[in-house]
Amino acid sequence: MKPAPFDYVRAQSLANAHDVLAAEGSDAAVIAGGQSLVPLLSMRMARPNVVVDIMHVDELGGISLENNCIRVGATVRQAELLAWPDLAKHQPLLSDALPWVGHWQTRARGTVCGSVALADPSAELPLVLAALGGNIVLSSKAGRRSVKAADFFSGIMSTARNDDELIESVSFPCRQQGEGFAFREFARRHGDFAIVACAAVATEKTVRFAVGGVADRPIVRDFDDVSDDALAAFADELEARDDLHATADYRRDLVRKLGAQTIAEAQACRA
Amino acid sequence: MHDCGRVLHPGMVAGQVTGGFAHALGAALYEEYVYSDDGNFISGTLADYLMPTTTEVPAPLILHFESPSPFTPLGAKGVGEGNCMSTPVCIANAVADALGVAEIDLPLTPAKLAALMRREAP
Repeated sequence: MKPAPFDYVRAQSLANAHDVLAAEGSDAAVIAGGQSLVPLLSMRMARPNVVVDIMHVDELGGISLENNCIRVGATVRQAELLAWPDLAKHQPLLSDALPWVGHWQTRARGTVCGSVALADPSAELPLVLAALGGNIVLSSKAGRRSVKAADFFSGIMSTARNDDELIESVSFPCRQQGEGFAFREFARRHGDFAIVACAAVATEKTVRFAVGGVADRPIVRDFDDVSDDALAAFADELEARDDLHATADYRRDLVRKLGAQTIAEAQACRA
Repeated sequence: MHDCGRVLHPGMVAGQVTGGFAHALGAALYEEYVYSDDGNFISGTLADYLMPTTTEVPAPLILHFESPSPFTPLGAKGVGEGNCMSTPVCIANAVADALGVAEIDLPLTPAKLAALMRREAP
């Protein structure tokens, strides 16, 4: 299918993008890498009047270290972050998870912030951001605000972003001394959206475990003691969905089995 | 093991058999027309109607048994579609044998296999 007609605006500055979003509100869609938006347009699941391209706004680019976080600007492509030489040193969970995002070709175009903005419940980057307790910086004509990942993802493809706002950057906390990380996922084919994706951050005493693909958003839980029983109880509490690719029961099975492997790996990688 | 009569071009026969095998894996494990309870077709895109790609298809070990056909001038029969039919049966039989169940519905998705195994668990 082809998209319904829309106007295209190439924003020349952040203020320019803010103006369009302020005027059009929910009738505008921000485009960056376009790896999700363009298929949604073509299937007419998204029908904006205006598509605002932010890829030519210089101030939205760049990867930097800020306040012990990796700050990733809105125009940074997934492949660019994966190729950032210090990534594994500063946040191994991110370097473990990024190769699972789509395919080589889609990572060359798709942006990190775009994946966060779309908030697909089985996507890897929202899961990692939630597991690490990262932040999302939103801005509009009215100003700028920072939202915690836990408050940002509110449902299937639904976030705390207002219609006149765009994501300027996201910040992934850097690894701390003594933390161990692991990321695993299961999909029916390589590169497909995860049926279940697991991320774990182990410290000396606790384990933070996050799971994607099961509920309507990434679910994060801190465990003092991660017995199989505790993990099974957590899996049972999840509001798992049945869909075309897997049943809710199967998803819970995967959380128990893949989750236990992920947690064991994170604990083994500690220090 | 295949018998396509006299093999006229080994490379082409291997290609045909491999292609048939890939199609058969799709039929056995991935490809399905799925309808929701209210009749909507829900596997209408290639994101939902899964076809095996190179990462999902292992290289099969191909063996030939050449029994030339007495009815054709070169002794050749045909090649290509044979294991579209045999591969799904082999996979279904292997699972039925391993789990001791009589009936397997294809495509055998991971969720279906897990459900079969749960039923078998003590």
